[in-house]
Amino acid sequence: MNPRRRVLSGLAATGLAGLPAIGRAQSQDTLKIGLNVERTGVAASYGGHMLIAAQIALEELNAAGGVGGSKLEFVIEDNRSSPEQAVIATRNLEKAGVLSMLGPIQSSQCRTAFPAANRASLVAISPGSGAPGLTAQNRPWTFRNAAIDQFIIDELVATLRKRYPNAKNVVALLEAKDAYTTFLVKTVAPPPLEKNGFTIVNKDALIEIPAETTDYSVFVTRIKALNPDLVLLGIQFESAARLLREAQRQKLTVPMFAGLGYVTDSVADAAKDMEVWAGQPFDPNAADAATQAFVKTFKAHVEKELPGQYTTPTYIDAGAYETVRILADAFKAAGATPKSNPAEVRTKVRDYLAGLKSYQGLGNSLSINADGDAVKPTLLYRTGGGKWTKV
Amino acid sequence: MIAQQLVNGLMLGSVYALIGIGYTLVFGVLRMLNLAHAYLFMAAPFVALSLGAAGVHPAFALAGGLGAAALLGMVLYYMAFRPISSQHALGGFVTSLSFGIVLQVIVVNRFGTLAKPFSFGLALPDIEIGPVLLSGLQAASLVVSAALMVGLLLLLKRTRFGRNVRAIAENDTAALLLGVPVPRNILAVFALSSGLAGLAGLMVALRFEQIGAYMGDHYATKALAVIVIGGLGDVRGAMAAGLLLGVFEVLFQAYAPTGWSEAFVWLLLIGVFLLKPEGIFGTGVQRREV
Repeated sequence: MNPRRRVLSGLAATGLAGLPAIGRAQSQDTLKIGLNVERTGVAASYGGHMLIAAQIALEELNAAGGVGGSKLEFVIEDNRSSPEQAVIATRNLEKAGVLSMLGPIQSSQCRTAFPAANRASLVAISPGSGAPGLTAQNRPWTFRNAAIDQFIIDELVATLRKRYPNAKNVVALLEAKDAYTTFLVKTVAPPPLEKNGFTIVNKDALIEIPAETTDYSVFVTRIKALNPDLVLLGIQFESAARLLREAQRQKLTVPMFAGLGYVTDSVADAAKDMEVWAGQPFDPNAADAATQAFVKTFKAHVEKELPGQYTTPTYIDAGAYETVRILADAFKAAGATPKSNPAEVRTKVRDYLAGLKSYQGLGNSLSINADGDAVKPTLLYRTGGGKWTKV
Repeated sequence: MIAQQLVNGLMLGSVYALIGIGYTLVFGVLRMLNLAHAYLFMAAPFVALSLGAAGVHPAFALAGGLGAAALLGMVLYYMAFRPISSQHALGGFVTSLSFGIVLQVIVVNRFGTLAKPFSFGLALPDIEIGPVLLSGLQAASLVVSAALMVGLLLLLKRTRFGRNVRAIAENDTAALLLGVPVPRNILAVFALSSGLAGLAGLMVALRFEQIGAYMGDHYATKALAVIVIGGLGDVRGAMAAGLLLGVFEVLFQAYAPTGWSEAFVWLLLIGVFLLKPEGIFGTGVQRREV
């Protein structure tokens, strides 16, 4: 399929055909950013929102004249939340002549797309991946503007210990076949839990929940039988929302906690008065004008394009917005024009990102470390009354 | 925990049974699998959601979803089965699957791939019996499945329509020669079967308050297993097999070693099929072949 058809079919599949400027047809006089995004599959919820956030940044930049007089344009590839497809998407974007690639969102897809980008000498920057070491293993072309799960979980578990001094038993569940949640539950969470005196009581019999499950009653009954003090949610946030509803129905109201990607309206709505703890490196209630403007515009777009979905941006959405703006700065610094040699611009963008210090993002100041990861603040949140509250 | 898990299994099984009954009905008449069934299961709640969003009263919106499924079933017959020769063993199999995929693509393009909230404020209260909790809506699903099974059996055994349908199932050419309006009766079977798929989809949507374009996929393979184990074309068998599958699936998920539950479910199905290939009540395809 040629690049133009890819963009058009991508738009049809995303349901975002109504958005005004997501590269309907690739122009010859624009600077192209590739989007390797989870538009369908299990992580589609993140993908639709991330596209909107990136689109907001693109519209703002183009309205302000673009970069050196040239407009920016997206070339979108749906990786279908599949590691295999993420590699194909990376190759397609490289062939389409994009100057940089934003995405994938999830670590599972980054695990395969990052080596492909590194081999193709294409800058890849993920706004969502949190698994440790993914950029360090794929230097020098890969970056992340997200947060590292280990930092979030370490701080979260230490906070839970203070909050629940007598708690001991943790029941862990994970989404079968999902590399990210398996990694979170089996590798990231156990050390801090052990260090803080918690025990995963079902360590040898983790509760696996198939991704396509709609009926969570069997799993909630199993959790209840293990009599936990805390529950570790190693499942996608949409699955968690369904599980929380069933938990309340079966009167299981113990506190639960998770890694990245949970601070969404859907989880808060489902949790009602239950305590769900999670963390992310973005505060949608930050007082700075840039954050407030972004949050307002984002909500308006989501209500129009994705009715019924969460409207408060997550760290992924904030990261995507920031990253498009950072890439525009990098193109400007590289003196990129539509006639530039893509390989030369890509190298300059890579070097720009590697040296990025104290960039004023949305309510934060971020720098890229030697591993290619953005250093951002760790913020913890807790649900209550159908809302997330910063701890 | 075992009592609650058995109840959980029965509740899940009631959904399998409801889908399986409709599924097996078409096979009983045409001896062809209607692979669009799970897609009609998915389409009904989306129609209801659209009607609800347009301001239609919830009860009418749900009835609209049900009616739309029945109507789509009739369209399915005209598009995917009637033009296909009954001599072509895989014709309807392929055309019905194609019809279903087209339906799914329409839903994806209209509603996207994200889950949609589905709340019509019709949640039935849960029922507590000691430590066991029954979901009101799933209990209703169980009762509805049982009532439908009895109703369908009476319809097939005691009415002119039922006699016609059984005659068509036996030999459609002979039925036609004897004056049975074959196309009209088959059309009615499609409407009935698809309406049942729509009803199952609506009950699942009301119970879990969320719908998605891929919500039928999980149930499609299970429903296929239900009608095979129940005996192809056997309504009572589909009901029993649906409940059994639900119970065993839940028990394996609760007690089997982590990562093995799905494999055990399918191994069990293979075992049942090997031991009782004619179906649980022995009234399935083998009897017809004799």
